[in-house]
Amino acid sequence: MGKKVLVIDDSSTVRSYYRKILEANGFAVAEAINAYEGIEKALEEEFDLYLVDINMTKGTGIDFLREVRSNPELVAVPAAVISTESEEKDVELSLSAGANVHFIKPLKPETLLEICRILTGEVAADG
Amino acid sequence: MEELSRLIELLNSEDEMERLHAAEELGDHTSSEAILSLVSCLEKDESRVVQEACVASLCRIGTEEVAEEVAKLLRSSDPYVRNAASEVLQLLGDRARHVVELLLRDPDPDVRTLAVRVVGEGQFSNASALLRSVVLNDPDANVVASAVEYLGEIGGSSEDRDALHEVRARFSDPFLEYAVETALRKMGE
Repeated sequence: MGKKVLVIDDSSTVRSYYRKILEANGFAVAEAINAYEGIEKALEEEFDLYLVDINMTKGTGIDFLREVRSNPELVAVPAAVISTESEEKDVELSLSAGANVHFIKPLKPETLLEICRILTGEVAADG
Repeated sequence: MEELSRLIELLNSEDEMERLHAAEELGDHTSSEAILSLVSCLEKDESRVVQEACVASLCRIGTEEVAEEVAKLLRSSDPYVRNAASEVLQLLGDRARHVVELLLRDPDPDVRTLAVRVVGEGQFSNASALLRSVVLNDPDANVVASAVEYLGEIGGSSEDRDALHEVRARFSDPFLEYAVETALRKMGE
């Protein structure tokens, strides 16, 4: 069984793009369309990584991060923000809310895989 | 006038319930003062309940001035405020059309991405034409990807399909290629 990734993004195209790349490379993928659904799924099931968008219509990525970082059972799960927001203030907000990294869309498949492999511990950051 | 001044003052009360009731009641006023106070409250209040009341009241007022003032919040550093502003513009639909057309030409790609969402999820007549224009002309891959996705959902004409094919000539990004394929598949191609 591969590492489990929860993708939280309100774009169905983004979710299916990540799913296609990740499943082809041995990851198991679950999806949530907004922060609230993401929190529900994170509480129901254990994941090795959260991939989080910021601008979503029902609860933002920041809401999701603050919620999981305040929950002792979820606080240790790594989270990568992947967003169109590229300004320094956006990155600072993501990191202060609990993201491990903040990347700018669109991501090339190899970049997405590298992020997931490093953050789930499949490979070392320098490997 | 006295009533309006009282409500605006109550928006700054320390009591959340007082601010909530003031935000709700200001939705019955269409003056610039009421609109500006509600927009300011939506931007700055720390209570989500009060912010949601501001959104509801701004939608109820529903004038072009509301659209103009709310559009400024798309630049907020707070994602909740940006999304709330986007929601108001979506609900205003054609009453916000002029403002949204300007936002689609904004220099900031993040603002344009939000404007695309407003068009894609809002109540606009001829939304496909607005999205097509973005698909054909916007220089930013993320903005175009968002427009491609919405065009796949609400479009379907031969002009829409032609616009999607044009994206392939303008960009060589793997995600955008995937978004175009997905949109064309939704259109039955």
